[in-house]
Amino acid sequence: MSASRRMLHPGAWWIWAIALAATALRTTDALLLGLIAVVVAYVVSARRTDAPWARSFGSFLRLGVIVIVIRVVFQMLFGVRIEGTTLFTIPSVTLPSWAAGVSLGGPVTAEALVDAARQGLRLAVVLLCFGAASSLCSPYRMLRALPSALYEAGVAITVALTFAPQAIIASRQVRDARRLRGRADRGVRAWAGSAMPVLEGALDRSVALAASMDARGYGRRGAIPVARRRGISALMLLGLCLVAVGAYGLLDATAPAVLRLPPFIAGAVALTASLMLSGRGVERTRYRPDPWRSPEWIVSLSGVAALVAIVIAGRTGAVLEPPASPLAVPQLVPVAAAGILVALLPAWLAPRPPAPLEPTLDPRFEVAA
Amino acid sequence: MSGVLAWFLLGFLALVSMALASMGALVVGASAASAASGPCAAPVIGQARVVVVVDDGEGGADHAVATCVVVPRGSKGSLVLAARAARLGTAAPSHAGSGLLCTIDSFPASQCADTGSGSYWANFSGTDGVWNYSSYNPFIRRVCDGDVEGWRYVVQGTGAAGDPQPRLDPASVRPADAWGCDEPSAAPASGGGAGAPGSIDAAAASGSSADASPTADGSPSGSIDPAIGVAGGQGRTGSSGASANDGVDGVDGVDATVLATHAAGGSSGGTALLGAGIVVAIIVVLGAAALVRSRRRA
Amino acid sequence: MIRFDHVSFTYPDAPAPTLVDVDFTVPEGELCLVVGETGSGKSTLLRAVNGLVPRFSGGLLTGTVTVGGRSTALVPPRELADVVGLVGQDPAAGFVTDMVEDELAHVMENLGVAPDIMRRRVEDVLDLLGLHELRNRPLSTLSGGQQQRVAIGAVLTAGPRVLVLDEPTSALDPAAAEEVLAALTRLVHDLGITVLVAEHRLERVVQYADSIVYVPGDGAPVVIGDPGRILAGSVVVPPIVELGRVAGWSPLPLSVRDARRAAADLRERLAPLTPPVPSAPAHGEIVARVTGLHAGYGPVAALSDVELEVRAGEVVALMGRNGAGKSTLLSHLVGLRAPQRGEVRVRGEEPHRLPARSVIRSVGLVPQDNGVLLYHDTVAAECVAADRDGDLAAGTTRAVLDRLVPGIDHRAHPRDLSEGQRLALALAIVLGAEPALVLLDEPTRGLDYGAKQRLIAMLEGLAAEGRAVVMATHDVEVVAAVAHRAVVLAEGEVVADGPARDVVVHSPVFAPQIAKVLAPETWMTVGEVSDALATLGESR
Repeated sequence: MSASRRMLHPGAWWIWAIALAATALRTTDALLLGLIAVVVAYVVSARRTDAPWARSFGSFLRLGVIVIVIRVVFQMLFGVRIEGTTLFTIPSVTLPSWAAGVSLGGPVTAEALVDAARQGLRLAVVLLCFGAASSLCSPYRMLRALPSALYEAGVAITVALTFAPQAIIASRQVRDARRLRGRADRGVRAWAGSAMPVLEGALDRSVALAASMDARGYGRRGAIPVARRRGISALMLLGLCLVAVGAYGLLDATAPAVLRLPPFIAGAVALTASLMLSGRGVERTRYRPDPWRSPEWIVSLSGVAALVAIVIAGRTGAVLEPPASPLAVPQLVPVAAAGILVALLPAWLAPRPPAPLEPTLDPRFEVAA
Repeated sequence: MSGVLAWFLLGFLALVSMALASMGALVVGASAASAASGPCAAPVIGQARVVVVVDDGEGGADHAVATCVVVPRGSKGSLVLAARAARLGTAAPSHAGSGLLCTIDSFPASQCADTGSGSYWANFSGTDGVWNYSSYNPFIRRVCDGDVEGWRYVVQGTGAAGDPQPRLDPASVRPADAWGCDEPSAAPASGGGAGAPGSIDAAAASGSSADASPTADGSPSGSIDPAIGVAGGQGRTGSSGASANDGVDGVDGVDATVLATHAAGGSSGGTALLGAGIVVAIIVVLGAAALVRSRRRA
Repeated sequence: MIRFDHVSFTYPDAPAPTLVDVDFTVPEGELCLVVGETGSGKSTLLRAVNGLVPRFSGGLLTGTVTVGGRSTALVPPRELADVVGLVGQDPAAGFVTDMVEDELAHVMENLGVAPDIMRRRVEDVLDLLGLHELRNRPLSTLSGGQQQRVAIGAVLTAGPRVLVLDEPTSALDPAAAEEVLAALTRLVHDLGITVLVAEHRLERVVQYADSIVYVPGDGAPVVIGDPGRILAGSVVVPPIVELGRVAGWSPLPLSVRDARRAAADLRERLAPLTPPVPSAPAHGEIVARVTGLHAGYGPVAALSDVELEVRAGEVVALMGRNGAGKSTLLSHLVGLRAPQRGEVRVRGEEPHRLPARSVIRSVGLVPQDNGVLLYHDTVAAECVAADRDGDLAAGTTRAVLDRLVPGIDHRAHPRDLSEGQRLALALAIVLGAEPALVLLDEPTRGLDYGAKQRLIAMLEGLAAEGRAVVMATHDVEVVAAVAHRAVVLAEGEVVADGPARDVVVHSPVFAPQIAKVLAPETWMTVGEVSDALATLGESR
């Protein structure tokens, strides 16, 4: 498999990751969630590049741990009091009757903590899936793969994508600068004092980037008359609204049938039509487009397999969301577990990313600090 | 960088395994609150009799089962369902993390999975002789003697007062000699069920079906199945108190904790543990491999 | 090719126009150099070529700018992308993608170039700019020179007929600057591209220029003409032209080669004299000592085993190519970073262990982007804040500033100051707390010759006060003029440490122009030569 090193189509990784995230959303079973987490971590460790964005997985892990901790702490303080084995008791506040059911403090049970940890774990695993996608392929490559009609939104997305890293760089600079001026470089006041300069700096850079993109022909349009362009925009907006309404209807079981499929389908049609109409006017080509070959199929389908397996398991009556109380040993759901393990295949079946050139080829090419 | 990453991966794994371990340690519902024995016989100072009507909504009206549980006076409502399960020897009711009631007597089998779909256990109060839809949390309210609590499983309901009610007349199961929330400081000179024969019947809810008879001799195997154990009659007032006592006594004869264990453990016991063990092993091995790989890279 | 027809431009809310009645034409295939003092409107002029001014800046532009027959008033910048390629001052700020190859192809994708042509052009540009080894590298791992070349390549792939560059070498070490300039001349000579380039360091560029546009600022008319003619009357000239003036050569030399041919006589006249020995106070008290310092980012060692001593009253120049570890060493000296191994002591204390308030009394750093030090609305507010930060008597910082650069309007916004004035303000803020060690990171970036002269005077003053000064810089002319000692870093190691004259003169990369012209004699600055000539004249 290592014969041809190349970047996998970003879409394949995203499908894989989104399918795994959807799988995680369908369960709170610690076994299955843990399995998804390690599958994702292993695939990332096997197939990520050495590019800077590929190091983001570590931050997502950190974020995941933080999410779990926060979820558990919140459960202790404000969570629903689940009956069971009381571990310790936090002084409680009694709320008036109109707020019955809301409790602050009170006895903390093992059931409540375990359940909060499971809920947190689910969110953390979803985050990990997205972290995996962004470590396995560059966000810009995903942007490139967008249909050309959506390209206008690309300006906004590109600026947004660079905003966060630049704000981090800027905040480091400002913190250093505070120290150089002899001010406290830690603590609340330091943060408050540096917020404005950081935002200002990041904003300046964003404007510079937008100017540079414009100067390089970004968002060039053919000769589409203004009236037609507005019509297309209106159609797109309408389509988005309808799709949103339809999606809500589909998710909310109590919504009337009229608000379910019909607006969804109408919205989808409107969106597709507007995309096609506007795409016709944009003259763009793609440089070395990422091919979609069998590895792409394998990767994306392996993710989908996990999702399908867990849906089947759920349909056939397996317990995917174990109750908070009473506590029980997690039951293995073999079908779902097997499906998740299929998603591990890309660790071997996806092509290796191209090796970066050795930085030692020329002393000048050292990694810039 | 990678060092930090490695530590966080390790921490992540540790959290996962801690969650697993804590579940293992606290295996069985420790919540088997002591269910006071005895049907809704005579009121006793310091105790409250609560009639719980559970209707899974399937089949005919005989699926509505009334059970009398006796709990310390002033207990929280959360004790009631657990006491009922312990008394009947069925699986303890399970809750989602939000506190939402998922199952009573292991019904429905999908456990908490349908919680977004509008299917739920609707709660009613029948203390006034009619079913009143309750939108208060039944688990934090303090119980009074003679309370009637109804649970009906509603498929695709609206979550409002219009949802289907338990198919059993609450007035027919309420002990007539109930003190309500004002317990007299001293016991009246009431003797057993003599005062009001109807008062016993709630718990008795005499199994009109023949299935009830095996439970009468106290065999545990029969007791596990709640539908059989105290199969729901209409709780006819005035039906013979004796047979009712039989049924209830049968349940009482079995150690409630043992029964709860049975129900929770499920039938597949050993193989399930084996499967879980294998998955834990896979998680540990894969996690370690990922750790080693990312370490070596740096 | 580029035509400015009576163009005037005023920024929004600006009291006076930045450009007044600019009127010139750059014919096809010329390399045209834009010179002028900082703040004279060079960048504005460049950005007007493709319409970013006024479309992205706001403001009022009158007159017309025409490029390749298209008026910027009628089409937005993006429709000019196939005619004009513009590379801004900070190339990294304009990167849209994250890989070298994608960045090169980006503009062609926007233009809708056919895939096979795109492929070929990317390969051509990779070869032309020597980037083929970097094609798979993430942009963020490139050094400054590499980034600059990628930015040029990224506009070049569109096949523009005009290339506009704003200070393409100001952030680069001499070798990397040579690389970029060589690529530019190749474009002009081989492909006939018209290049408009603004640059402060005339000594690097002027020899390649076909014509010069001189922007005097202050609303005086813009002049265009032959380099020799324009420089003869200009106040901003490279050292070599200054030497020509001192020596009385005509025509004035523009390249080292021209100057050497003219300088045979001068070398003979100077032969009996020896260049003055710099009065380096070799016996000053040791202010800072670095022993066995090791620092790194992940697996890459940024500094390894660095040894350095800095004495009071000494100006030390820290040199080396981009990414050699100069800034890292400075941030260790000021305590922004803790050493991984080894030790940094300033006046006997480890700066990273001290609280910020006490650090500033022993060591101060003016960072490369000195704007980050400034966060207030007015110069006066900055000075007051600096007094408060350092527990100084009211007015201290302001007094220092007035001594460094008299006549700064205290009500001005720091951002509206010229580069030189802003540097002075940042330096004043740092100096207010009277640190024994003053560090400057690339202080000459963006400074014109006049501002550099003032900086040199400031540094000499600091040394005379007994402060130690460490300055990281690429600017060999400033090093030649002010540094007592030069330390060259490469790959995080100290490869040379000695008197500036010894280190600098014999290096083909770092030697200043005068040294190249007068080699093997070791004269370094025009000042030294003119002093020597004056003594010769007296002795006759």
